[in-house]
Amino acid sequence: MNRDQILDGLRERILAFATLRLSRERAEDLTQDVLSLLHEKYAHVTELTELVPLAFQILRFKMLDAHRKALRRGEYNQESVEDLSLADPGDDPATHLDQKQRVDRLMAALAKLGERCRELFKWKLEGKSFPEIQRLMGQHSVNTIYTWDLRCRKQLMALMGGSWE
Amino acid sequence: MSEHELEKLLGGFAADTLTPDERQKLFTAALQDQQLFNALADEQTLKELLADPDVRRRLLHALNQTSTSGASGSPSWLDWLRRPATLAYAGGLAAATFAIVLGTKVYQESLRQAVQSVATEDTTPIVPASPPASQPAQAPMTDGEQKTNVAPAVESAKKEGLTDTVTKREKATASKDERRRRSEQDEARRQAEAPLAARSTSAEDATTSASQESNLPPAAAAPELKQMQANAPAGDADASAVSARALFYAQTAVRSDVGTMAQEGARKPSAEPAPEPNRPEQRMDRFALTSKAAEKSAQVKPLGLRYSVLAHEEDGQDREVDPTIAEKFSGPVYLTVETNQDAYVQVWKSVGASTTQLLFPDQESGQVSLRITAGQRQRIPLPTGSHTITLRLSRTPFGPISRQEAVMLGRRSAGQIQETTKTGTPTETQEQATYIINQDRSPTAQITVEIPLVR
Repeated sequence: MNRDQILDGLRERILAFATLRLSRERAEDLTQDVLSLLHEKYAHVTELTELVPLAFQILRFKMLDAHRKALRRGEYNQESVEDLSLADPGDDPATHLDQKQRVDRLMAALAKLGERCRELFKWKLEGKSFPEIQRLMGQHSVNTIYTWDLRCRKQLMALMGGSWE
Repeated sequence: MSEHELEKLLGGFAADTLTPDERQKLFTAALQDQQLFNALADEQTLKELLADPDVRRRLLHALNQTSTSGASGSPSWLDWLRRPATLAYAGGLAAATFAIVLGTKVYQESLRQAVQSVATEDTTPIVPASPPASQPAQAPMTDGEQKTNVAPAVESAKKEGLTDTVTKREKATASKDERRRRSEQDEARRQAEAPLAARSTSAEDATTSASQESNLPPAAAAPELKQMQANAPAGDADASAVSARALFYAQTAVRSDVGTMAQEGARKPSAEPAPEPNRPEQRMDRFALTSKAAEKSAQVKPLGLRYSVLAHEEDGQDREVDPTIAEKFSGPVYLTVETNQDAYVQVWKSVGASTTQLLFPDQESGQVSLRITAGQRQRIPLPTGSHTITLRLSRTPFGPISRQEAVMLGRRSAGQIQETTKTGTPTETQEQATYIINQDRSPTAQITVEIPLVR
């Protein structure tokens, strides 16, 4: 699969994903922005295993920007422009707080997990791959680890309220 | 791995721990599958969070702390306990422990019962050869008389070749409880006999005390001993150690002055209108204690019965005879019954295995048992023909019995001691009676004895 084919596939998926969360027009604009950036700034990235994660990352940033713009424009709650503070190019305190709260929620949810799930997450946070975790946990099949990880992830998401956000 | 199963790789995407191969498969599938793509896009949030080294370090620290505390705390132990296998092991262990405890108890119980039954069975056919069997019968004697009488008795026992092997065997099989009970009975008997001896020696005619044995020469005492020994095979485990006759009179002697009574009886053996020979406590009622406490103590004494077959001879005198030779007498034959305490008695007549009828009390009385006073000898006329007389004695009145109970009427009570005594010469038989003592001191204790008769 060459780069163009990957980008074609990415365009279709990104548009469908964005449409679920934004309006059609904004979703198309968002998709176009992501692809433009991939084409212009990351033209050297050709591998599928690099291009797709990169697309996800850009997509997330673009969606966050879209939310911020909508917030600034008062699309969620109409407010006077004079009342709004100037934008900081770095992470604003709200983002920091958001991330801190998310980490706290994640830690609380991890503490509620079972021993096996905690063990699994620990190996993953230490950078161990699934085959390595399979050996560490003494399992004969890596599929067992896949299944355990899927269940643990769903359990963790449920403990966090159904979303990572 | 199918495309559907590729969803399982999402966890690795967020932690960025996928192998190149997994990564290739996942992303290729994500380009084809919108759902997987959406899931990956949602995972991006977590991926960014975990991409922060500081966050990752904090999470790892939290996980290590949780696992450390979990390893040392009770939740881990509880988790281990809640495992199905652990629960199954615990349940099985509990069931096994319960079974062992229960089995041990049942085994001990059966062992105890077996020991008791073995002791009873072993001692039942024993011919009592030990001196204690004859010693109580000579209780009213003085010390001097005892010395003169006991020696020939022992010699006679030696001549008969009676050894102590049976006694040893009995001792070996008897349990500790049995020995304790026996020693208690011996102690009680000695206590009861002690005042008797004292009274006998203090009386003027102590040398001719109530006991017929004391009047006999040593030569006669030996056959008497032999007769008593020979007639006591039906006795229970204690027959070799305890004389039923001695117990019978020892218990009643507490309530009366036997020595004095015997003396009177010896002076006028045939003066009574209805002479009952060889009865050392004929006038016991006159000397009965009036103290209620004494009566109460008498009630807890072992239930005792004396019976004999009395034949009216041609010379007009009544004589106690062996029940097996009652057929030789053409005149009336009576069954005499005497108890050592107030009790209820009933006499059944059985012909064969099915026909059982109440002989005493009379049917006209409307009662199934009659209360007789201690020391009073009851005379019951015996019918003619071959039959079995069943004599029953109890402290409480007997109730009506069913047909099944009538079949098992002759079953002896546990703990019965039986002894048949025969004193005097063949021409001048003084006493021929059977004494039975039930060592059970409970109020429900009974005595049952069967007397086969041929007339």
